[in-house]
Amino acid sequence: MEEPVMKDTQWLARELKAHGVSRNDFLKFCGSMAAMLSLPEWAAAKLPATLAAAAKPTVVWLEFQDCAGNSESFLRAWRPTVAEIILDAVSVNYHETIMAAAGTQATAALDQTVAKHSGEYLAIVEGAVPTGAGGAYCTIGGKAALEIAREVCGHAAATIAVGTCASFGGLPAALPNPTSALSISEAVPAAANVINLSACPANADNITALLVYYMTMKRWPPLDDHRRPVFAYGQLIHDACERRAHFDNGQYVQAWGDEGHRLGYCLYQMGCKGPVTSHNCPIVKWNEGTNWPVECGHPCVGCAEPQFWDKMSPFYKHLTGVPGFGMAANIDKVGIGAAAVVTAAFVTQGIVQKVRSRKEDNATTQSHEEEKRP
Amino acid sequence: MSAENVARAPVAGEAVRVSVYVWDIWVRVIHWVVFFCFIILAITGSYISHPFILVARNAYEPFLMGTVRVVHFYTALVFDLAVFARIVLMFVGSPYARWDQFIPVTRRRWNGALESLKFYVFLRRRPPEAIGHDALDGLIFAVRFLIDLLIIATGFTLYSKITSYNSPLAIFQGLIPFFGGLQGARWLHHILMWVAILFILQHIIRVIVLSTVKHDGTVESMLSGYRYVTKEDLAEEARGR
Ligand code: SF4
Ligand code: SF4
Repeated sequence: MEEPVMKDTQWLARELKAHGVSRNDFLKFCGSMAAMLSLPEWAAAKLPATLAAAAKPTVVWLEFQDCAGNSESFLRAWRPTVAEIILDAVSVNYHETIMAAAGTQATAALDQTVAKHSGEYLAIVEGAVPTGAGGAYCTIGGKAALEIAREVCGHAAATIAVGTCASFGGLPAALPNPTSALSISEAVPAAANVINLSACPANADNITALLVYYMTMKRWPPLDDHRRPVFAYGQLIHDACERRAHFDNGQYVQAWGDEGHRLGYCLYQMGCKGPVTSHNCPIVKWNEGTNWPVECGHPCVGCAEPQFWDKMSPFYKHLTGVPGFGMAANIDKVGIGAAAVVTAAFVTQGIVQKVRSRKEDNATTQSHEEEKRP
Repeated sequence: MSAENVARAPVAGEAVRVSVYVWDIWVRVIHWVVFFCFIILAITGSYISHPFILVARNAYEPFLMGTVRVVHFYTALVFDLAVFARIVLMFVGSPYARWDQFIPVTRRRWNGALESLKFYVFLRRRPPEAIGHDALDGLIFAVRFLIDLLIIATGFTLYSKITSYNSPLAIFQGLIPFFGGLQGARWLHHILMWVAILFILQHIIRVIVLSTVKHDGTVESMLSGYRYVTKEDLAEEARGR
């Protein structure tokens, strides 16, 4: 395989030394990454050496209709300082929130990267791309988001959509989608190697693992139907949840703070969307691996799935409502009502027709027998 | 066929009816398998969507939801096979089980459906006669088959993600985006259960009504296979076929 343009293979070692990261910490980091990526033992053993010798990828980070939550998540990457170095020191040539440059200087940095590293850099995109009103809903330096996305993602080696907004449209694209927001793969169908890291926000550990995979293997990991890496989205939350035993046993939380809630029962009846959501939250967890929503007593709202604002709400209910009866309508109550109406209608029709046909029967019999009678 | 036809004492003012063997053993067996499977599926499915029996705190591993789910899955397999067998019968079964009983292709069937509809909006006193499926009834069942197929497809889609990765059923994961994600499939699966219940209700009530208005033994026919048909209709049917 041809080496990428950046031939500096000592950068990571230098950075690690400068940050005072011990060899031991580096090995620990590699071990946790190998576990996350489910690498076999022989590959895991090769990871530290390969990573240390890996070329430094060039990255530009674009923000469109977003809340900067993914940047927050990214800046809080932990797994000692190694992840920090991987993330901070990958040449982030352009990142509106964290770059020192501003205005024309910043745009110049972006243009330069696109021109100089065309076809080599990675574009990380946060937020949806609005297309309504000629793109007026989101412009940077006078350029519409769509135009920027086409230019930057169109020339990138790969585009990583971080967060549900960039992956699937997310909140901006939720009904009624006032700005006609699109996900990055919808907005720039020509973009090569789009990888969606959905969730609100994307888990920094998954971003790190994806970059480590790319830097060491020089290709992208296997993806699912929604173009999400299988290592992070291959399993249902429900299948890795620590409350699963309570689910299978029929023990459920019925109300916030009830006995079941205090005992850590399953949150299924509180609207948990774990059974329909694919993500690795129960395994990787959040906030330095401290905890994740279900563990601390809140149902999963399914943030990693397409259109979760529309499909998964109401968040504390099992199912959405019934069209014509409202989003919060109870599907079973509507069903029972419909069954009552159908039963009443057909029973009434039957009784009326039966009475009419009996009259007719009697009438014909009578007229047969007493034809002469007036 | 006419050798089996037995005349029956006419009800006052009615035409003479003869018995005809309309539902063969396969049709009847499949009918009841589908019916009982559906009841089990509706009850277990309702429990899965809304667990109405809760297990006490210190019960020792009752595995209630787990068991209900397994019952649901295996019953669903029997249900699916029965529905597919019925679809096969549409092409290889008796004339009264054929696909053209469901989808009207002749003018006569279309007229029959229209006449039947008139009975339900009080424009006719008596429902039109039919030997096998009444034309309107057949049409309703055609829709019911589509709904069953959708229920089956959404069910397999939901199952595809929890089955083992090397199971052949994992292929249904391809349908997940089509139904709007697993949550979409789950919603559709649930609401279609209610639609199917509406079909069953109207079916039961209408069968009883037709049976009592026409005195043609429709209710018993799903057990015995025989139905009482007017002689004129039998003759007409023989001509029309
Ligand atoms: S809490 Fe949610 S994810 Fe966990 S077992 Fe219950 S339903 Fe499944
Ligand atoms: S538990 Fe569910 S809602 Fe929470 S972050 Fe994970 S996927 Fe999103």
